[in-house]
Amino acid sequence: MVVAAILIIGLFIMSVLVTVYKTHSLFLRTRSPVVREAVGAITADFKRALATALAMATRAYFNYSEFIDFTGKFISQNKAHNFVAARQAALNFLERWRQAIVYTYGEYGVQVSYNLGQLDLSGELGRPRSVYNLMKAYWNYNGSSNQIVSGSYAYASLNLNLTAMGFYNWTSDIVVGLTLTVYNKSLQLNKAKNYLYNNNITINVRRDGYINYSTNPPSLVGDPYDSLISKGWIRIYYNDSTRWKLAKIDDVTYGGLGNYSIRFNMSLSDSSKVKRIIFLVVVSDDRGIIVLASTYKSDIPTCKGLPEDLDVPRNAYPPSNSS
Amino acid sequence: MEAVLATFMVVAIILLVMSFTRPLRSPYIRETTDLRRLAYNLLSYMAENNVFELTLSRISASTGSTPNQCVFYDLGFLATASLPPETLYKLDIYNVTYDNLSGNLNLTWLGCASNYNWSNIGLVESESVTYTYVCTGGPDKIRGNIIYIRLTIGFSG
Repeated sequence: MVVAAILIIGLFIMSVLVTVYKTHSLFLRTRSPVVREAVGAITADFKRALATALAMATRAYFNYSEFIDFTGKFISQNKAHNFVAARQAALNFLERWRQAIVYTYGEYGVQVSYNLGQLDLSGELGRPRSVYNLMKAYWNYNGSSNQIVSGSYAYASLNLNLTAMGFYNWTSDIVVGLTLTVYNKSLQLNKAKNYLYNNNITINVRRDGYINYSTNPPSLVGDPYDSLISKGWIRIYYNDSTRWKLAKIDDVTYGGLGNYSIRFNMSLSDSSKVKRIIFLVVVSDDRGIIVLASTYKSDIPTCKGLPEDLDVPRNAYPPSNSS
Repeated sequence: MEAVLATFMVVAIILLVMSFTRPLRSPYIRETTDLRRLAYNLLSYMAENNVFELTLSRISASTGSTPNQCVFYDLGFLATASLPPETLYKLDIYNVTYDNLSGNLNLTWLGCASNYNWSNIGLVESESVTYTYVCTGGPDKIRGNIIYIRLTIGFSG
């Protein structure tokens, strides 16, 4: 009787030891898989996919043919300047990306999807606007006389499960965007000489940023973009008597916090026909996202349409679906 | 009484032995994790610096898709400089395309980078990770491409 009891106690103690060992082993197995790295890689790639989608839409809208090596992969030329078609092309692209993720991270049992939410942009644009249905571009505004704010944005929430690792319900809100503020400045036109030189214009460029969840819906607070000179580009168009022309930029100076001072020259074919100078400032970041801010006013019809070198649709400008 | 004493002694000895020995398989698990983590960190570092766009933009008819040769020398140099000494690797890059008719993904091998003769030398211990990258940088010919990357890191005998 005593021997049996001792044996049972011994077996019990041994089973406790085995359980402790298995617990330690389980800890190693659950801690060891590279969950953090895999989630980080997929999330970063989703942000790149969103940026690509927005770049495609904005480039196709601004000038399809100039960027046809890129835009032609996603959308046909007869759908250029059509943000609705670009949005559908972007959704198709995101679906292909999703399939690539499922294939690539299949060993982790990945389940990936995304939701299209709404993000408030009023803090960025200075007027009540929001991004929803994947992406929006707000390129025209006839409000304040001393500054014009435009922006291009895409927003979605990534949902992720890694079933083979026991990792579920990861959600990450991803926003990509580019905000351009042009500080308006009236220029004195020397009508006798038909040209303006050493003009200065100041812009502010912000991109992406963080999401403020204390508001409903959540709002965007952009980060200053400091790589416009080294990785992006700037163009300034102005209205000549009958067409838009590209100004010659002499110098761009970065003043910190996303502020750039641009010095440029321009010449007019006949200054007597120009009532006032209107600028189109176009900015692209290194991901190819474009934003255009115009000092568009009611007197723009005096400039008869937009020229061939600026492939913005004449009749659809300002665009009804992206104003 | 002797039996009780014997049982406790056996248990005490087992506990003592277990405390001085590593759990089974734990070194293997840790090694596997370290290699995978190293691989992901290297790929993320490359992605953040648009290294893949630079590599793909340099593919020409003479260097691209050369069978059995890893000709992404700049990429290989960066990987070699970023990894610990004595670590061997092979990094393959594929272009991902989508067949609208069948709904399947197709992978096209673009090239590779490596710091060892992978056709003759086998790795004693290695781990392989896969990674996707959407090209966001220029030129426009590259921008928007989805690439699939397989990185194998390990040690030789």
